[in-house]
Formats: sequence, structure tokens, C-alpha cells
Amino acid sequence: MDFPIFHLDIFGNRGLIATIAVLHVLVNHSLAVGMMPLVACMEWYGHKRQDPRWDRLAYNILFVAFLITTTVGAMTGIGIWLSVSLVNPYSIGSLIRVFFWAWFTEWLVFVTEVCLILAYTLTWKKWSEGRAKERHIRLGFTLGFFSWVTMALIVAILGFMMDPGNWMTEHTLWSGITNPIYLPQLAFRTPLAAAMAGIVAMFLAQFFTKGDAAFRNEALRAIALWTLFFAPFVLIAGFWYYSVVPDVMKENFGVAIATLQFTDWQQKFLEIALITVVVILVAVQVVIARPNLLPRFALLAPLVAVIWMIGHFERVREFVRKPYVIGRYMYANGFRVDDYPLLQRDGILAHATYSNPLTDAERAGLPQGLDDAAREAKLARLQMGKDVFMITCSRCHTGHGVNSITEHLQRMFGDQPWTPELTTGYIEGMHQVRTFMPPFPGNRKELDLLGEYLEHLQNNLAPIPGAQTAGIIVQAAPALRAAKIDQSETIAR
Amino acid sequence: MNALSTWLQARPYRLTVLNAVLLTLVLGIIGSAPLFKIIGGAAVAIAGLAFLGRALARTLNGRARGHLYNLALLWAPGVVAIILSIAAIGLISVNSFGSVAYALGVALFGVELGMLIIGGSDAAAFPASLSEPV
Repeated sequence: MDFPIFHLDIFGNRGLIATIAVLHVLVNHSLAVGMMPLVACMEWYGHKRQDPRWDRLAYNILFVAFLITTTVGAMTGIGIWLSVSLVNPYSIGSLIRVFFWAWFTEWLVFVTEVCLILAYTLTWKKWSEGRAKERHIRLGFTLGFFSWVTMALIVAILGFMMDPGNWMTEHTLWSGITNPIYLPQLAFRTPLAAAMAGIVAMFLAQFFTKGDAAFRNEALRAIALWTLFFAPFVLIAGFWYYSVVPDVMKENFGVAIATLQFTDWQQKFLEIALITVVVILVAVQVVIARPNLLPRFALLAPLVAVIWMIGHFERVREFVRKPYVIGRYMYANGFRVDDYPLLQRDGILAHATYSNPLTDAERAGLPQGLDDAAREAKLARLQMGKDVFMITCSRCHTGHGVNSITEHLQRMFGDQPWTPELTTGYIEGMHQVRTFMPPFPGNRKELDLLGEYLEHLQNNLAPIPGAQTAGIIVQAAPALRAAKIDQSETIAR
Repeated sequence: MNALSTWLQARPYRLTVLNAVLLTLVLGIIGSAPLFKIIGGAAVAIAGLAFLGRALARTLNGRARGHLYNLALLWAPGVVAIILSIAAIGLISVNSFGSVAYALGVALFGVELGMLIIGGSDAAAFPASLSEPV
């Protein structure tokens, strides 16, 4: 609670991270990790056959990959850091403490990768003959290797977030890296990236081979074979990955795939996922058997299908680890599991450095007939209730936007007044009913304050601003804060 | 009509594919999963055996031998067609007549049976080099 709280009340904090992260994964997997070895293979094949058409195609595809990875890819990579640091600084702080040297190595590898892609692209035309060409091809494979290593290092951290494994007792970097999810996830993502690159390359190849139907067919077939080669490994590794996901996380799949309202949508999603796989296989099959019969935009279908699938895969992966952001170590609200007894004893406000001031719009909608003193007391309690909400709920929930707390309360309690008794009764035991929700971290008084604030939200639809727009108030000393809560309770009575 | 007839005769497999499509339509309209399993399964078995036999003969006779790349081109479409047509029969078996999944299963079966027949025909006339037209 040592950081001001960044909050997006319409789009939601999760939406911000998800948009940036999914875009990054799409670019990283399809245009870097998978595409670089594919381009190097195409260059090698062209050199082996002394066919300049392969060389031209490989260069054109590389140039597209180069442009996108060094702009959208790099920016979204930085964007992930920025967004997760804003939304949940505690989780990223914990991860940095565990994986400092892994991340430092990844940074070195990433810088090397950037240098290599620059060198590979810019020397393509210069190193085009004899030994220089062979050196250039080796450069391409080296680039592919470094692209894969960046992913391999980051996947260790992603696996750790799902299940820290032995790190919970040993607390070493090595035990963190060798978490149970690591190798299965890496085994899944590696062929997936190669297959994705194949689909993107097939789509691009159609445009870069205009006017040479014979070569277009030859290139499409070769790339389709590349895609098909990796497909069984995706399925096998996918099964391995699924088998190591803890059972308790598998129970979250239904909610992860859609939202709470659509838990029964899981079956439908699995059907659509199956259709997606079939669409990709049929497209690849037709490309190999009859490339000349394939309409140019027909390959949009597997391209869109794979983008759709990856988006959902990442969403599911992010969600299933709930209620934790780091499995069994830190809850999604940013509180460590070990800190809960202390917080539930003292209260979270006693340890909060900052307060999130109510705006004028948020002060509207108070009960009628309050005198000035009662009104001030009510506002003071709402202020504390808002602080409880911001500290405990706002990492995942908005007030009135995406995945809003009011939407959930409306679904559960309808239009009846959301009295504090009603809402606190639910929040107290919600983690037992909804296992993806963390337990409420504060004490009884703070739960009541949150209840009052939620009641207020039913009558006040103003967006809840984050520290980035409403600013912050530095809190008084802990003892004074506790006294303030007691005082407001006395007035309220 | 003449144009259609000429088009069908231009490639020997076209008529067989047309028959396979009509068979799929009839089986799909009947809506009996056990019948689809037996008749559809038999059709896949016959077309699959034809493909496997021709592809094996082509692999062993030396034209494509030693070239993994060419062998992959020879085998991939037919093997994928066998897998997907079996998956289609599975889809039809577990879904009720009239459902979207059933309709998709029938469509997939028709496409894959057709692809299997084309794969068998292509295997018989597989070129030695990748750049040769099929």
C-alpha cells in the first residue's frame, strides 16, 4: 500500500494489461520466435537451390516482421512493464525480487536480439553471395535462437505465477525457474509460435509472389508443410501443459473463458476452439493439395482463427490462477497471503500510505435529510469506504465499467437497496462460494465501510477516478487513522 | 450440361468426388448416426486404403524416395484427410441431427472424403520434383 492507485474505471485495469499483453504475444510468437527461423530456413532453401525468388520472398516477409516487431512488438513489451507496474506494483515487485538475474539476462538477450534483427535485415542485400551469404544464413538462425531464448526466460516467470512449486519453501532463483508449469508451457509455446508464423507467412506470401503462380504455389506448399509439421507438437504439448495445471485452477476455466454471466459458455468455447483447429488444418491441407484453387483472402480465416485462439488462451492463462496473482503467494489484490492475519487484525487502512479523495461528482447521491454534521460524517465514512474499495477491489474491478462491482451486485441483488448488511454478508464469505475471489483482507470495521460505499455506488453512477486524475492525499499516522475510523463510527451511530 | 460433363471428364477423380459429396448429402439428410458410421466409415476406409496403397507404392518406387520434403507433400494431405474425416464421423456420432455441430460434422466429412479421393489420385500421379505442376 505504498503506491498511489492507478485506476481506469471504464476500460478496467485488467483490460489495459490484457490488450497490451495479448498484442505483444501475437507479435512476439508469430513474427519473432516463430518467424525468424522460418525466414532463415527460406533463405537457406533459396540459397541451396540458387533460386532468387525464395530469397526475395524471405526478405519481404522479414521486412514486415522487422517493421512490426521493432515498433508494435517493442512498444507493447515496454507497455507490459508499464501497465503491470501501474496496476499491480506489488506483484511485479515480488517477481523482480525473485527473478532479478533472469530478467537481467533476458534484457541482455533482448538487446542482442534487437542488434541481430537489425544486422540480419540491413545486411541482407550486402551479404548476398558465397561465404557472406552462408554467414548471413547463420546470422538468421542465431537470431531465431535468441528470439526463442527471450521467450524461454519469460515463460519461466509466467509458469511461476501459476504455480511457484518448490520456491515456496526454498526461495531460490533456480527453484523459481524450475516451477512445475515451466517446461510444459515452453514446450507448448515453441511449436505454437512456429505454427503461427507459418500461417502469417502463408498469408503474406500470397502478396509477395504476385505474377508468378508457379512459385506462389511452391512457396505456399512449403510454408504449409512447416505449419503442419508443428501442429501435432502443439497438441501433444498442449495436453502436457493442461495436465500440469493445478486442479483448483481448472475449476476456473468456465469463468476465465467468458465472464461470470457466461459460465455455461465453456462448452460453446470448446466447440469453437475445435472448429478453429479444423479450419487451420483444412486450410493447410488445401494449400498443400491445391494451392492454385485457394482464393487470396481464404487464408484470412486461419489467420483470424489463430489470433482469436491466442487471445482466449492468454485470457484463460491469466484468469485461472485466481484468486492469486502469484500462486499461493500473493492474492490478485496485491496482498501477500502471509500478510492477511496482520491486515485482518489491524485493518488495511492502518497500513495505507495514501487516500483516494472523493470527487464532487462522487459526493452526489447522499441520503436526503442529513444535517451538516451528519453529512460530513457520512462523507468521511464514504471516503474511507472508497479507500477500502480502491485498495482491495480496484485491481480487478471497476465501479461502473468493465467487470464492475455494481454490475455484479445488480445481478445478485437486483434493484433492492444494497444495504451494508446485504453486501457485507456476501463479501465476508464470497471466497468460499466464488473460489476465484480472494478473502476480504481488512477487518470488520473496514468491511462495514466498504458496505456503505457500495450502497452509495447504487445511487451514484459517477466514474471512480484513479490517482492519475484525482490525485492523492498522504495519510496521517496509523494511530490517527484508527482513531478517525472510531470517531466516524461514533458519529454514524 | 455439356460443359459440366466435359469438366467432370477432364480429371478422373472429379466424378468420384461428386459421388462422395452426394453420398455425404444423403447420409446427412437421413440423420442416422449408426448408418453414417457404417457407410461413411466404409467410404473413408476404401478411399483411405486407395490413398495409402498408392502413396506407399509411390514412396517405394523411387520417384520420391530420399526426399523427405517431397514425401511430406505426398503424404500430408491424405493423412490429414483420414484424421479429419474420422473426427467428422465422431462429431456426427455425438451430436443430434439438426444441431450446428452435426451440420459442421457432415460438411467436414464431405470435404475430407473429397480431399482423400483427390489425395489418392494425386499420389498416383505424384511428380518427382516440387516445381512440377500436379
